[in-house]
Amino acid sequence: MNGMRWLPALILLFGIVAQSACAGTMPGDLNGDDTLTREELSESILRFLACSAGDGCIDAPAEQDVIDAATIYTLWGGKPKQVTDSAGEVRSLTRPLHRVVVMNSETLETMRSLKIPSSCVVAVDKYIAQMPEFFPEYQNTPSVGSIWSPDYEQILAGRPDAVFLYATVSAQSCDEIEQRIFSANPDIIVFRIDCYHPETYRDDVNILGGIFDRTKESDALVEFYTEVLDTLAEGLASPAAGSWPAVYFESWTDYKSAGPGSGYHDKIELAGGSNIFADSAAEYPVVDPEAIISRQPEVVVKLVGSGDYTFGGYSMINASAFGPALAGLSGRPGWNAIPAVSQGRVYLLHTAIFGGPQYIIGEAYLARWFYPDLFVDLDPPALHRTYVSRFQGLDPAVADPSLFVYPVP
Amino acid sequence: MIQHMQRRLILAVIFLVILVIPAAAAGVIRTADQGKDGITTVTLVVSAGSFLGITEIIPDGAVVTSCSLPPSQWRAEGTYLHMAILEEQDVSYSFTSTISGEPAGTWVNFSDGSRGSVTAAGDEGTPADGAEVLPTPSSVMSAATQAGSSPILAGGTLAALAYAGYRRREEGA
Repeated sequence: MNGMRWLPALILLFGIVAQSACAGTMPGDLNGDDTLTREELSESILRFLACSAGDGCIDAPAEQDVIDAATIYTLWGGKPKQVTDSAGEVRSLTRPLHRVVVMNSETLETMRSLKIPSSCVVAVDKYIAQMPEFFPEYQNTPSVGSIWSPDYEQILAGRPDAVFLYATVSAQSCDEIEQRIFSANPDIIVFRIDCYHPETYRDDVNILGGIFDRTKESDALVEFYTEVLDTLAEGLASPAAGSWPAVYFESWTDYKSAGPGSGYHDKIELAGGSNIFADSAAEYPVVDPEAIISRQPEVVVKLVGSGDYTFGGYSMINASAFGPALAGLSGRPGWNAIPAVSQGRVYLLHTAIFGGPQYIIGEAYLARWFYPDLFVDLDPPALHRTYVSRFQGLDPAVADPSLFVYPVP
Repeated sequence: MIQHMQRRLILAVIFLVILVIPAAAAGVIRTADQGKDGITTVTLVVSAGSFLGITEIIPDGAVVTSCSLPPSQWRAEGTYLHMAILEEQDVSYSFTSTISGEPAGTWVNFSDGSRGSVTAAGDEGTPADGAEVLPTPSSVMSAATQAGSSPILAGGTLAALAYAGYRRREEGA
């Protein structure tokens, strides 16, 4: 019954959307054969000019249609663009996107890296409003709820050309959203892209670059990631790397660690760490405190920025809490017998630079902590500043390392 | 003395840059050649972009006799000549007219939606409302342009002001 509440409004909105939707037809394709020829583009331009001059507007296209037709002719070879998204689905674009709803912040962040104007985004998920420091330009953008509780009326009210959803995260919720949007208006293209996993992030960037005709920007972003990842891979492959240090990783929930299958586990290994709970059957095990001591980690990394450890990050909340948090961690009963504590290799890492697209910055910190003598040229604070200023267009001062890691390098 | 010469050189470079930038930024420049036989030949040099629409208004009673574009890319209707520019860098057309006078025209760039007026050769850089203009070195330039002066005059004004400021500093020191 609850699922039907939005139906009347949906039907009403469908009329509005159906009138404005144009995803199904290619602008300038006058004979409807899915091929925009030079002659058709020329005819569209001449009709537009005649109408603008007051010579008659019968069948005259809107200016945006002519601009889109020129883009399709030059960049798409006069054909609809086929895009395979991260879910492996082939989506067909019949015109450049001008109005999109983005329901995952990682994709929104990546779109900003690709210089896609915020004016193109007509609605975002509710979590964007909780990040005013990082997404200041979207604070007045309408919210469409979350993937777990989507506001369909708001999605359709935005008259989007496309909606962006996760590919693999909460796949069931996203599948349902996709189906309902399709039922309401099949002309709205739903793209499934994660922009979340390290192993697929660069592919996701390339897909987004293709969708928005921003390949130059996507190439630059991919290169930025590749340089760091290559540095890590080359360093770890060298004899100087030696054996990988034993690492205890803990999330912001005390004693909650990471096992195989989790993103955290993969990220520890990507930086050359040997997860002491790699034998865990659970992806996110709550571990026995005694087991940590007995497994003698050489490095401890605790994630902060949420739960009882909500401080630091882009919100700059209570940055002075880093020191006491580290002292509390190192002072746990029996931890003075852990090599990581006795050697001063216990670190706090903010989740903002370890999850989502910014994982690359966290990786750089991990590599420095795991191999202080090997990755001497890796400069995580500089990397962070470059990311926020060059790709995110933010003040590099927001990447102050004292808000993201402890101890500060 | 050397420092003084360097400053003068810098001022000269600024002056030249100011003169050159607006000319290079001009979107479509028209050269019209009126022959004795009553046929006017017009050449448009396009530097605003690759995909443009140009509308030229020819004098009353004039008739377009030819256009270098393929037939599908131009259309003459009354005093209007509409042209679709698809990567051509120059276009020429001719019209016969018993009345002397140059055409007037506007262009739209379908790559980015910018627009402007077709400008006669020698009068380059005067933008129409909403036309994109390259960033100018200072608000002095902007003010001079908005006041209706040509960019050359605006450039001269800026250079003169810069030089005057330099002289004042030198003299006040």
